[in-house]
Amino acid sequence: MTCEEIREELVAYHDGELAEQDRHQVVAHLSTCPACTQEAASLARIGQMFSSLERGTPSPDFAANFWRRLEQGRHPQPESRPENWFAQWWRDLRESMTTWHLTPALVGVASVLIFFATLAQKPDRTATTSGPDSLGGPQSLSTEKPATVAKPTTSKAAPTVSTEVMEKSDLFIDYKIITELDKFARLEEIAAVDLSTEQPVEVAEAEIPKEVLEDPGFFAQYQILQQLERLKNFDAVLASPTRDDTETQG
Amino acid sequence: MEQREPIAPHDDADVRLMLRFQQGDVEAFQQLFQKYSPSVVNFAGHFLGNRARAEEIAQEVFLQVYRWQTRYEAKAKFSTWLFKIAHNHCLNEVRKGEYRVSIESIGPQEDADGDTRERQLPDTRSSKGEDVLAAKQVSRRIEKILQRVPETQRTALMLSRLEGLSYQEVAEVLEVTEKAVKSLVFRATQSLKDGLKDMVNPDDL
Repeated sequence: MTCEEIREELVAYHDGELAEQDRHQVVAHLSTCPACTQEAASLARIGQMFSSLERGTPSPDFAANFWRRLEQGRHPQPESRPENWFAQWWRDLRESMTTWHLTPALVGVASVLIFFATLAQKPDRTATTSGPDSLGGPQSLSTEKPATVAKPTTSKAAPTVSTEVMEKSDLFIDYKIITELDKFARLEEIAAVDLSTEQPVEVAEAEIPKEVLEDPGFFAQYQILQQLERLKNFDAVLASPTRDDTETQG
Repeated sequence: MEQREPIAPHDDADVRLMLRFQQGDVEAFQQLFQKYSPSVVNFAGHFLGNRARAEEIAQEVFLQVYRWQTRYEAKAKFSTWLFKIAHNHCLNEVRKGEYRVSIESIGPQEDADGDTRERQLPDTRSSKGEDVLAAKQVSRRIEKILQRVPETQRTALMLSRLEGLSYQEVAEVLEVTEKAVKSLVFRATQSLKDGLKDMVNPDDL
C-alpha cells in the first residue's frame, strides 16, 4: 500500500475498526515510514481532542418538559393493544417524510385540486359515464365506471373529466385521491375508530394501468391507493361506536 | 486493536428494556430516557450548533420512541435505532433552512492593527487556568469546524467518537456501507486537523 492509501486507514486503525489483514498491513508500513508514523500520531491527537469535547447535561427542566408534553395529550398514551392501523399509518407517513418528501407531494395534490376546481367551472366537454370505452384512454384503466368511482356518498356531484385528461396514466391515482378527499376532512374521526378486526385489502393489480406500475413513484402512491380502498367502507365504519365510547380514559 | 464484534439485538440490554416497554412497562422507558437523554441532546447540539433547539429536538426524538412502542422491532442495537431517529430529526431541522453555516473565518485571527497572528496553545509549563481557557478555545473552534463539514461526516464522527458506536453501527444509522463510514470519519478528522493547525502546537501534531 502507498503512503496515501495507508493514511486513509489511519483513523480506522486508531479506532480499532480495521480487519485483521488491513491492520497488519498498516502496522508493517508504519514500522518503516516515519512520515506516516507522525501522521498517525497527529490524527490520533486530533481524535483525542475531539473526544474530549465538553459533554453538557440537559437543562434541569428537560425531563419535566418532556413528560408534560406527553401528558398534555399532544401525544397519546401508549395502549396495550395494537394501534388503529389508519392512525398509525397516517402518523408514520407524516413522521417518515422529511420536508423534501412532503413538499412535492403536497404541491402535487394541491395542483390536482386546483386543476379539477378549474374544470368544474368550465362547460362539460365530454361524456364519461357510459363505460370504459368512453374514457378514450388506455383500455387498461379500471373497469369501474368513473361515475361509480367518483360518486361520493355526500351530495357533491362527481367532477366532469375531459378525454384528454383521462388519457393521462397518472390520472387514475390522482382521481381516486380527489374523490376520497372529503373523507380526509374527517380524519380524526376515522382514526378514532377501532378497526382491529378488519382484514387488509389489496388493490387488484388488474385495476392499475401498466404505465402506472412502471412509474418509479408508484410505490409511494400504491400505499395511498391501498388505504383509499379501505376508505370506501368508512361510511359504515364511521357509524360504529368509537374507541372513546367504549373505553375509559387511561 | 481487534475489530469490534457486532452485538445481536437481543443481547443488548437496552433492546430488552424497550421490549419491556412494549409490554407496557413505562418504567423501562424511563430508564432508557434517563440513560440516553444527555447523549441525544449532545448529539443534536453538536449537529445543529444550537443547544436550546437541541433540547426540543431531543424531546421530539423521545416522543417518537414513546409513540412507536407497539411497532418497535428489535432489528438492531437500541442506540443505533435511537440515533437514526435523532439523525433524521436533525436533518429535518436543518433542511427547514433556519440554519446557516457561518462564513466566519476559522483560521488565524487579526489583531487591532490588522495583522494576522497565530493562536497558540500555552506550553505545558503554563498555569492550569490557562490550560482550561485554551481547552475552551479549542472546543469552540472544533464546534465551528463541525458546522462546516458535511452533515454525514459530522454524524459519522460524532457517533463514532462521542457516542462510541462502531463503524458498522454508524453505517446502519446513515444507511451506508462500513467502508463509507471509514472514509467519512477520516475526512472529518482531516478537516479538524486542518482547522486546528493554527491553534495547536506543532509538537502536539
